[in-house]
Amino acid sequence: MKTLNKTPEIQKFRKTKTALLICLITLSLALSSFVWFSDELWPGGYNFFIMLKNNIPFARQMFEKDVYSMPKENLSKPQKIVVTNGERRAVFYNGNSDFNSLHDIIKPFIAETMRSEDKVANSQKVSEEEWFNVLRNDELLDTRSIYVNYSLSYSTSLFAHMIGLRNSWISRDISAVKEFTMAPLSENEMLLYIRDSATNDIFKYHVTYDAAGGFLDAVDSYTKNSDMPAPFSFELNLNKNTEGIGEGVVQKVFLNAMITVSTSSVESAVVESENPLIPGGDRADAISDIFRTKTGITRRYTDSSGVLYFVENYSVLKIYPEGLIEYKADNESMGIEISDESVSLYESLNRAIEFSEKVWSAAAPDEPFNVLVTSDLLESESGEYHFTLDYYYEGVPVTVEASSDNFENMNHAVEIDVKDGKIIKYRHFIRKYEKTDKTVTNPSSIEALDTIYKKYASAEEETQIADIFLSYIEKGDISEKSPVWCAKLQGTDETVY
Amino acid sequence: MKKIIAVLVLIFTIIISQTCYAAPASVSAWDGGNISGLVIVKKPETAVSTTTKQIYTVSALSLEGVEVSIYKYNPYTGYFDILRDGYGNPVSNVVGATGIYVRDIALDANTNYLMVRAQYGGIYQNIRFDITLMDQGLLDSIQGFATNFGSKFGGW
Repeated sequence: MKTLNKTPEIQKFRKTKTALLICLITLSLALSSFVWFSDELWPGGYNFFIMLKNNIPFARQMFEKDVYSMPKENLSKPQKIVVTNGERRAVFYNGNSDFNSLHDIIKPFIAETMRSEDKVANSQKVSEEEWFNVLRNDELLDTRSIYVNYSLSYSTSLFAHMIGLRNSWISRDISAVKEFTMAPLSENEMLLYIRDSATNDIFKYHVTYDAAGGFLDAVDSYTKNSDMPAPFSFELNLNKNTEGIGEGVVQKVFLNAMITVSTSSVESAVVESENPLIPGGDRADAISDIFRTKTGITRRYTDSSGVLYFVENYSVLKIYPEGLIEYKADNESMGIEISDESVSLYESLNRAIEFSEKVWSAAAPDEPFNVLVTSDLLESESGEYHFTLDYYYEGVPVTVEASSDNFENMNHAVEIDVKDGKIIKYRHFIRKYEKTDKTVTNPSSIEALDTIYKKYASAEEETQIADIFLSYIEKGDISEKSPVWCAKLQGTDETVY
Repeated sequence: MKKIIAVLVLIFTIIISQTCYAAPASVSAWDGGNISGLVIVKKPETAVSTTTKQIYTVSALSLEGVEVSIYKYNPYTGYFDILRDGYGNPVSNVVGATGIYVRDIALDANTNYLMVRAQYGGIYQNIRFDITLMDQGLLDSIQGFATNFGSKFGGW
């Protein structure tokens, strides 16, 4: 009887024990998962689950959220596309309307050619003259072609990654890419020319491509409404010393052959700059959290000029009132770890971009991070990379030239030094741009070049111009900004305007 | 009063002198100028050329401060008249520091007899060149023939 009375109590006790056990198991699993799946709690390279996530695409998809990244999206897009159709020509810049739809036609063709060697019937090295002839529309050539310029050199393997391939057979011929020219031959045949930006060699590929007809249509439709000549510099013989009609005048300024010369004035939007980084407050804490290492004890103070310091054992983070975030690891081995693949350019670049996005989100929450990668992306055997990113507004780049008594001159929106998978130096000039209702009319690029050339100190010597482009100039002041013509000199990073 | 007259005379003299040295409205077909080495026409490269582009870009090299203008032959007068843009302004520019001159001109069908004039003060040089604007349809026919010929006899 006594036993019978106790049975419900025992059952109740057992149920409680079971519930408690389930709770404990669930809790232990949850806590273990934090250890298993966290990069933070394992020494670099030893976490099996992280390795699994990084190496198996399916696992990667399972573990990672698909976060949209504007800088990464821009990496796979060219800066300029020039479509030539007989005597008509149209120029499109990243950010212009129609640019993306045109790029959607071009990208699959480049990807298909770089993926499938069996689609290529012939390949050969050709002269620059042939490259020019495919593009020129000033002679008796019925030219139908598309020229694509990425503005920076990519190692071929990185470029393949950027357009969704693991690698490309073309890297046997070409080590670095920047410029492509393509010409539809028929409904299913195309010519693809690629210039090796490291050696300047040009390779021509005769490709079987089922959608070549779409190219022919695109060439027609994208030039239909274009009435501007936009000649390449080589079409005007301004790229080198050539004979003309007459003699006796010495050419002192040479334009890169692929510059498209504007012969009429250009109207552009006036923008207003803003520093969204309010000194002090929650944003500074959120930013410092991104740079905080695992071991460091952070000391925080503000100096007399308003610079906020976060000092750790091996690094210093400074937030300047002008909107500059500056981090430097005193000991390079103690930098911020972004990748365990220390020699992979692709991984280093991706992680560096993700890092800069985190900094931007903390500094300017909910604002779009409109930047382009502006440093060449070439493999480095030392595992050391210097990446730069720059803002742009509606296709017009922003040239940063910020200086102050407080900090070293800043010439890009973001500068990132990565060594062996660690960020050892990071500088980010925080600015956002809003459109005003004002517009400004700039003269033609040739007229502007006269003014630029006069300002250039070494004007007496022979001058090679690598590029002419419109750009907003960011000097750090909060004001309205109109784009101005800028020239980049060959072989230097110098921009003159 | 004397001062006012002096100033007026000075202004008048400046205007007159500038008018004298401005690009003239018409130039004789036989006038090659009084100097050489003042200008080189880079595009077109040769004195006789053919194109399919109705809007054609002329490029030239000269010296800073030189006024470069483009003229077209007028068969009714036998002279070369200065070209005018869509707004009626003469196609004339003073060359800047780079020495580069670039200008779009509209070509007529068939042969366009053109002249570039470079002028600096009282010195000037005229260079003649002809550009024939070819009809795209005719060109397509020629190229169609060339393509067929090429496909029959090899090459890619």
